Amino acid sequence: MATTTGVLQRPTSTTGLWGWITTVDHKKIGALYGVTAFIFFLIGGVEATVMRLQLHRPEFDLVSPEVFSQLFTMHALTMIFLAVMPLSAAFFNLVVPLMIGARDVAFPRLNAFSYWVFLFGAILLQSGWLLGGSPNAGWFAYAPLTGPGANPGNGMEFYLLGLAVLGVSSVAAALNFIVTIINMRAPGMTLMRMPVFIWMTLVTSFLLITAFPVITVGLIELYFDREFGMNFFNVNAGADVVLWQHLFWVFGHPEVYILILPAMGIVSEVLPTFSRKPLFGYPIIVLSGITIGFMGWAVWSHHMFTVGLGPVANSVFAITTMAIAIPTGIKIFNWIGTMWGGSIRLSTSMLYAVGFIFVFIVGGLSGVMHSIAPSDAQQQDTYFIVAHIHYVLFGGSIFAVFSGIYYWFPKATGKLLNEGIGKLNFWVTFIGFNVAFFPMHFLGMDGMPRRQPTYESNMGWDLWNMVATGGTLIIVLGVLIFLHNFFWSLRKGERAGADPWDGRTLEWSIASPPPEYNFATIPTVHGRDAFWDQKYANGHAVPQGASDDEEHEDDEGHGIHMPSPSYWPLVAAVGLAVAGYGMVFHEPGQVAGAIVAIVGAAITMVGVYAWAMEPASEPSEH
Amino acid sequence: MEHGPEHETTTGIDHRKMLIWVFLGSECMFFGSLIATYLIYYGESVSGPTPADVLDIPTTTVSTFVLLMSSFSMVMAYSNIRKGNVRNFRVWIMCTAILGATFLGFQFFEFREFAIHGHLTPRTNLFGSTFFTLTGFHGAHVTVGVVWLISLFGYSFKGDLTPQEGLSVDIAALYWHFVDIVWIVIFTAVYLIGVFGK
Amino acid sequence: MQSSAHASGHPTPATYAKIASILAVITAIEFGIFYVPDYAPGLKSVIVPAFILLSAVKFALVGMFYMHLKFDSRLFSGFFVGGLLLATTVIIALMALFAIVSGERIIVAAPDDTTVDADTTTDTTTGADTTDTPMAAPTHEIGSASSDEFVFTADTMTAAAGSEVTVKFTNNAVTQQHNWVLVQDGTKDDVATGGLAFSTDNWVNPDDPNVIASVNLISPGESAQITFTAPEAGTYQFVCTYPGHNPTMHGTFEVTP
Repeated sequence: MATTTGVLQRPTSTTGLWGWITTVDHKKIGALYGVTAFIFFLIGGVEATVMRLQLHRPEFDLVSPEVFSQLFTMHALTMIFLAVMPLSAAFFNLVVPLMIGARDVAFPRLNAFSYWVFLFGAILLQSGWLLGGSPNAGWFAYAPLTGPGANPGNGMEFYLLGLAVLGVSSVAAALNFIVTIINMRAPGMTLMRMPVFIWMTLVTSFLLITAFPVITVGLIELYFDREFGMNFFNVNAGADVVLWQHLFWVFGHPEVYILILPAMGIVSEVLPTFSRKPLFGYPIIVLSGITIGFMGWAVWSHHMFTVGLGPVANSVFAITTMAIAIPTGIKIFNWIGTMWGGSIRLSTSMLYAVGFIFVFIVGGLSGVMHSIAPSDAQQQDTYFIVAHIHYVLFGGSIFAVFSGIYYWFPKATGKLLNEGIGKLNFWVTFIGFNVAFFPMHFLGMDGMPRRQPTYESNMGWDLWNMVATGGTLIIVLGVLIFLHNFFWSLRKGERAGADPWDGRTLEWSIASPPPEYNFATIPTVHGRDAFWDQKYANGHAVPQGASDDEEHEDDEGHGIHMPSPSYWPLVAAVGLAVAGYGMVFHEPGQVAGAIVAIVGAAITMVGVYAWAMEPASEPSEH
Repeated sequence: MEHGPEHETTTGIDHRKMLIWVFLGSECMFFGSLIATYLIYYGESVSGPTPADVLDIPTTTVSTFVLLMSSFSMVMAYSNIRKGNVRNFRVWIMCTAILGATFLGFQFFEFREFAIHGHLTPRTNLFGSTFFTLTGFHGAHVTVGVVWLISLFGYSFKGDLTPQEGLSVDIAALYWHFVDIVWIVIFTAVYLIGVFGK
Repeated sequence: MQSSAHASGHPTPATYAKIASILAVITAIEFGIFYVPDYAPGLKSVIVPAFILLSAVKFALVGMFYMHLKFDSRLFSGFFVGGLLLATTVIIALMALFAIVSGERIIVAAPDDTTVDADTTTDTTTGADTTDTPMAAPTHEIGSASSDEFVFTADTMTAAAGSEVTVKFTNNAVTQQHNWVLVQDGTKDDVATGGLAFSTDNWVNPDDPNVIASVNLISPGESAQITFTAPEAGTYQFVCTYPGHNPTMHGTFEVTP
């Protein structure tokens, strides 16, 4: 077959800028996800810091209330959709194929497509800052406050189209990982031998493909209301705006588990490695992860306790919400059980994992408090809720992400992150985190409402606001220390070797960074902790880092056929971005926006056609 | 449209076939949410026209029949490509595409009729918004399907569509049947019960 | 597991044709029973379940035979039926959540509700047994729905022209604030829209010429009353002007000569 697909020569280079742009290698895509998401994490952090500076003392006037509304909306959207989710996706990409003994994901080009769509969706969502105003109605965007007339300008369009495009990316990636995990495991790796991180990736992926269609429908309906004068949330036409809240939270609560389950997976890998013990209660941890995934569908209305759904609905959702604490608690006991009696090494990664357990318990307990509907009526929309979500999302997800970065950075780059700077990074972040967010419990109990641009000095909120802002600045310092560590270690870091942590799973059995084809020979798995068994089962230890070196010396990738780079995923993604901008700037009665949207759709179609017609990999030249 | 480099899979199932099934599971949630919106707002419009005023059961029964028969011609196309009978495959797949296009034609004239004589547009009332959005997205799925089928028809002339590659047809067929069964639900919920319930 | 797509039990074209004819026949039956109640009204209640059953059969036939779930890996059935069940459950749960509220509305609006029927009240005005406060006419009681639906407990109220009318309005809602405003016929939406800028004046423009009388905005559990002289005979409207309530929360106020 010819290497052309019509116009363009198929890209062959796997290095340089074009190498990155056309890559279909899961490790490179993982790196792209990670770096992009971290940049957005920093942007979200800047948004948060500006808000904390605004609130550091009463009646301070750093930003206007209009800007403040955009800040809290965009901070939430940035952290959830552009930082935590893609950071999880970075780990999925980097680690999943390595852990299950595969050479790539099932659909490498679809994987590249997911990344590019994510990038363009993220830019679309953020570009409101430069193009006339960002969304300003909270990340939940309750209709009718976001409906036509009530929220003029294009801010909400950036929200609607941004989330819709990001949804395409998430669903495409999730489909890919479901097929990869079910269908590409190394021989012998049965479902109950899969590492817990793989299990959590699988559960998260199923949540993604089922939850995102629901919000997509909500986004479409609100968009149609705003742009075409339809009536989905028009009370004068008999609509019930509570429908938006239902559609949003039917998606929104599984979304919470989409954010936390990968974090739980990371912690479940880090703890056994640094305790030198198998994970305690593996089947129970897996089962509770699946249970959380299912029950995540049965609790959404606890976000709506004060809407007035009535006592029956509130009681049902209060009970299901309380029940979901059971599998979560089981997991925590199992993690503690894993550490119990182990020979613990307190590396930075382990510190973050233990820190995760500590703060997640705090956040979990305040979560159980919210499940009590009458109690929640008091806490609704106060800083108590802000404290809770940051204990589970920052203290939970982000701590686990840092744990994962310290754990897998050596595998991805071949260099160790500096442990000394790392421990400083952990302690500064940990202290800053608690100083910033613990006082918010008090502020909430004292009745301080969230999303307020300022407050008066006679409310008794001055001290704790000042403390919280101080804590925020300490977190900023912690993040700067991490950035320093990252760049310093990339240049001068100690060489990692294949297995720096004496790891238990298959990714540590190959060189760091892994060769393009990952495994010269696909390993055969005989039990859980596959690599640990390989190293120690026969009673002799293989020297660290030496396990695989010889093999790829004789077999320098010969005969291993890897997918070829491709332009088309990028082209298809660009089309979506163009269509997205066309729809954002659509004005009722004018055709310009529609034309741009159609051009974008046409570009996507060209990309998809060319993609379908080109083979996944070119025949090798030998 | 070749296989990837991995020929062996854990379950023995081709990646692409597994992908389409997981995707259809996801699509259930998409149409489920649209249907939920329709049902929740059923009978809540403060002004007419109502489903009983505009929906035309006899005509829609015919278009439903057309779509059901397109599913039959689709399985016949699949059956033929698996036997290596490319000539018959082309006849049946073109037949499927034409039936699909006929269904879209029915929908186009239905929408036009509603707008002109039924005084129902997506803006008129809640029923209009929910009805046009639900059936419109279904129509968009049919359109994608028709384009897909015509592409397979064209692809068969390249000579690559071997019995082994019946998989490409299988996947398109699964999508096509899915769109068909979504219509079975819409026809019942929106048309039959929708008109009857008033 | 073997690639069972090529298993020997795969259906033949004859089977496909048989399925197609069953599908066609079912569609014809559905079309037929649609008109059954025209001839046999007693069967009306079984028609909707019949529609659901017949379409489920069609759905299953296409899924099992045309999508060959019956012959293929059970994994596929798992993915698909899983998505289907989840979607169905969410639809049913959402409809139940909305029905809890709508169901109450039907009960509240029923005529044998505890609210004093406006007509009866007017009759007793002319009656002799109003002894406790001879100067004041009997009170017309009206409330808001005890759910949070935007409706009053009665659709019509009646009074005699020129008589002293006392309206006692009770807010039975769970969370919503409501008011009761008497306006000229056909102006309820105009008054409500005009009141949007007057959040501190109970959402009523005090200078609105269409407003005849009003009970102030009250919170759940509260009640308030006003006394006014009934205007000249004719039809008037009453409405709650809290933003967004006017499309559904209104009624007719008849003044008899």
